[in-house]
Amino acid sequence: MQLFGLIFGGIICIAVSFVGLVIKQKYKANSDFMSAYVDFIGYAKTEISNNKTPIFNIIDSYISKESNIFTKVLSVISGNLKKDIMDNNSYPKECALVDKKRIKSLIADIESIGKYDSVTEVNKLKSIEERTQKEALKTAEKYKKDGVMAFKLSVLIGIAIMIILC
Amino acid sequence: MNSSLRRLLRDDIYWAVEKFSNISELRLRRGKNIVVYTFGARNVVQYVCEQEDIDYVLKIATSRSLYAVEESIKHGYISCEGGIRIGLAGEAVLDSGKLRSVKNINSLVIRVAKSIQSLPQEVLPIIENFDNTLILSPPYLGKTTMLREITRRLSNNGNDILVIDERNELSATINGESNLDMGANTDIMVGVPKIDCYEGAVRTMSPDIIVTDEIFGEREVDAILDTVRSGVKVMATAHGENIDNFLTNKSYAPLKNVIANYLLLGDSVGKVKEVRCNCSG
Repeated sequence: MQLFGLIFGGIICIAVSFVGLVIKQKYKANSDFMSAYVDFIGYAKTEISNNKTPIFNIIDSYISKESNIFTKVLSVISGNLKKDIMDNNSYPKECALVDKKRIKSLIADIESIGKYDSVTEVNKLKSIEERTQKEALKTAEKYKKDGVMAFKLSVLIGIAIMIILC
Repeated sequence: MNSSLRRLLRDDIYWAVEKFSNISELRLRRGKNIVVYTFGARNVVQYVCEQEDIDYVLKIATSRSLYAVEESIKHGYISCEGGIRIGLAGEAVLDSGKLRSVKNINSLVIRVAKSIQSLPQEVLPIIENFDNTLILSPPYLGKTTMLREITRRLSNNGNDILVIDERNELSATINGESNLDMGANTDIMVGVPKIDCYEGAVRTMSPDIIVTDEIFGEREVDAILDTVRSGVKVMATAHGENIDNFLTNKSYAPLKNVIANYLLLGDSVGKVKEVRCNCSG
């Protein structure tokens, strides 16, 4: 009976820890996404300011340099916009960890680029950069505080459940 | 309809104009009926153009990157794939008195470049024994198309040709590549003010022939005279309805001394009305 409790408690412990791990991963995915978001906006700003590179070329060259959740989302957005579709939610599975509002914000930002002259566009990108930098700081802090804590807490809860069941 | 033109149009406009074959020009003005030109014939379409229609054309024509073509916008046009050129009008944005851009673009003239594969018989002697040539025509009668085809043939005959294409109307170059066949031995300078280009082109590119569209004013005539003096031949177009009247104009009269061949288009698109050919050279 005690052995059965130990095995059952162990399974519960692993399950609860896994939930904690997913929560941590979600915080991490959002933090990484925002950090890449800031990086991309900075890159776009430089490309437009220096070379007046068209937006799809900027996206293509950025995607060819990096491979992460952000570039996967960016690739889908670019493909949609080339077909004049705003959003068709056809993102890869791993993108599910990223908050929808961040993806929507990225779509809106990219959609807004390209309607004005380069000086206006660069100024607009500067303000997007400031906004996303603040957001990136927030998500990084949340990951360090809440994400890591959620994981630790879930492991502790799992262990506690296992002890109780034993 | 030309597939490049189709891409630029929202479905509503496409359905309104699809019945016209051989569209040479489309005029979109916010709040006004669309006007379609088909080889000189003007057709008013019962479709009132909205700002969204114009914005859509700009979005597609610039690949959502208006800033990337801001220099040509300052000159009042955008070139896009398939040899289409879009003239535009709106409000100027000034920066310390200098034109920075154009905003609130509310009128577009979409011109579809035409290419012809056959030339009228009377033009062929000009190509066989080329000398300085001027093509005259009233607007919309195909002088640029004629110029392009003669250029292509001269180039394929082994002449090194430099095309000075200030407004990118002749070559429809995008990302350094011409969208229209300009011949095997043709170099193209796009977007450079013509006056600035003649001297440098003669010195650095050593062409046999310089080709340019729509010469305008005394300064350009002087540049052409200098070019001819340096041994390079010139082929150009200009607006005009009569060769003699054109040459009595004070600005253009000096051309009499250097131009050997005149080609006057008229009556209908691409039709040669008069040829004055000094084809013995």
